[in-house]
Amino acid sequence: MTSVAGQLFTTFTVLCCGAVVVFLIAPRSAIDFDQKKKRVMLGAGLGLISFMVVMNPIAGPLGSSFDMRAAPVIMASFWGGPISGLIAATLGAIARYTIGGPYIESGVLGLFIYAAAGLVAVRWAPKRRRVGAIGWMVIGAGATILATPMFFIGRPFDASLAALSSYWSTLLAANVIGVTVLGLLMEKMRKLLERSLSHADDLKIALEAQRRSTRDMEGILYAVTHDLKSPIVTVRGFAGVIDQAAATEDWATVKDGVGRILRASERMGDMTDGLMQYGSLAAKQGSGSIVDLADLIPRACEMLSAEISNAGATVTTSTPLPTISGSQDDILRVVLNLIANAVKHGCPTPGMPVEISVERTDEGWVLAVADHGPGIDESLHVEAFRLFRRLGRQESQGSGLGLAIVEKIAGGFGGWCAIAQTPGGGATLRVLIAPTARAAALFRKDNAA
Amino acid sequence: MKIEDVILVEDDRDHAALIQMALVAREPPLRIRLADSGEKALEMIDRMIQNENEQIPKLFLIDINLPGINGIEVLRRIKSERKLRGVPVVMLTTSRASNDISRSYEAYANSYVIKPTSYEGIKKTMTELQSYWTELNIS
Repeated sequence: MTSVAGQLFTTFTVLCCGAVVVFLIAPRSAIDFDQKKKRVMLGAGLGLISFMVVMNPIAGPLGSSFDMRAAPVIMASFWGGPISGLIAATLGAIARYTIGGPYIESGVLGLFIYAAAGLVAVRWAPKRRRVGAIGWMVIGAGATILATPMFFIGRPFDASLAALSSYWSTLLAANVIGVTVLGLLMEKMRKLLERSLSHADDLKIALEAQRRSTRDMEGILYAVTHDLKSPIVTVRGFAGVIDQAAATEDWATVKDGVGRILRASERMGDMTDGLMQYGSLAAKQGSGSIVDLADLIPRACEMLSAEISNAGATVTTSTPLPTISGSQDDILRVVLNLIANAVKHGCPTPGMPVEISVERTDEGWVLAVADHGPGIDESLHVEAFRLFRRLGRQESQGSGLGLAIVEKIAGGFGGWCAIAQTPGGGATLRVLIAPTARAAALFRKDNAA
Repeated sequence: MKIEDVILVEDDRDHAALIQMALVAREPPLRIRLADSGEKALEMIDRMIQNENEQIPKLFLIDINLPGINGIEVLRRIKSERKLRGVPVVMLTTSRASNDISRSYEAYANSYVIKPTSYEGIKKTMTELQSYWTELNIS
């Protein structure tokens, strides 16, 4: 009994230490064995445990069958598949062969049978499902039954029956205990690791959001200190000019100065309004719903009817328009900004067309608003999305935030926006308004990088 | 007496008008030639390099934040041309960002001046710039 207790204690210790080492060396590998490299690592780690169990002088095969060499091999093939199982079984088999003594053939073959048992067990209990104590006990017992024929290899039938009656129950107990202990241990550690890694991922996402917010704040701060200062220079500067001109009764200069001050203060009002709108975007993101573009786009055109009519533009929409998933408010704001932009900058003379279309691409639904105006110089295709970067002349109305708002909204749900030339002249603004999950994940990954 | 040129690269027409008004009368007279974008400034520079008859300006006043080609790129172009690198370039901008200041000096700007917000301030700055870079400074 002392001998059995000793064997039990040492093999149990070796199993636990080995499992801990495997998880410490490669925590990610312990969760996802989706790469060949990870499977090889798992097989090698568990194979090493099997090797140590077999080489253990107390629990070795020459003493009795109460060793737990089966457990690591079964675990390797269960979690990592045939490659891991084969590597673990080979390492165990090398140890068994090195020790020598009687029943080498059955000892070596037994390890490969255990690897096969692990593969059979996967069919019965998918890897992702929690197997539990009873499940592991059944797997341990099943593996022992599967390995029973090895008692008949390399010895006479009578001797095989004798060995079977002497050792089978010990082997069964060792395998059931070994597989259950190691299986539960791996399950528990996977659960702990999954939790801590998911926590780490959450932190990473939060950190990225914080970084983005800081970048936004820096952009806003720069815009406030530079772009908002620009109309202040105009207002204060021309106030001084008016002061001097009034003293000399130069009314033409006074009139010109007042006009400039009015325009600059109007621009400043537009800019602060736009900045408030831009700053409030982050809080409104994430409210996903079903958005029917066949309803939303005509509504946006109706809201902009005054601007469209003033420019004398003809807005046409391609049909049919899809129903997409997203935030109704955000998509409406994107559509409004794009149409307003096209009407303002792309329709210098009455009767010019603005074409709205939505197309399905590999990345998701892309909204395109095309005009046939003067177009946007290629050097501005990236810069146009910066805060306060106006595409028209200084005198043109607007906050200079329309496209910056579009980009921020699109970035919020993992989409993108870009400017292209309209065939035949003009600008086409394209926005990925409903990205696929893969496209959104790629965008976030690129953004984080 | 030959009129001397100051090239002003400024996209804000109001600022350009203020700077023009703040110029102090002197002999020989200074003429402001306005380029309202980086692209137009580069076109002017190209003409100065290619055309022997084109007058080399006495001073460049450049705003940094221009749509498209920005002021720093215009500055780099000036300082990379043998014919123009001796002409003083003053960055005249509303930006106090340390990054803009260091980038300007790294590109060999002769001076970096923050636009004053008052007309009096603009006049004072223009007087100082004029007397230092176009009269006392021998470039």
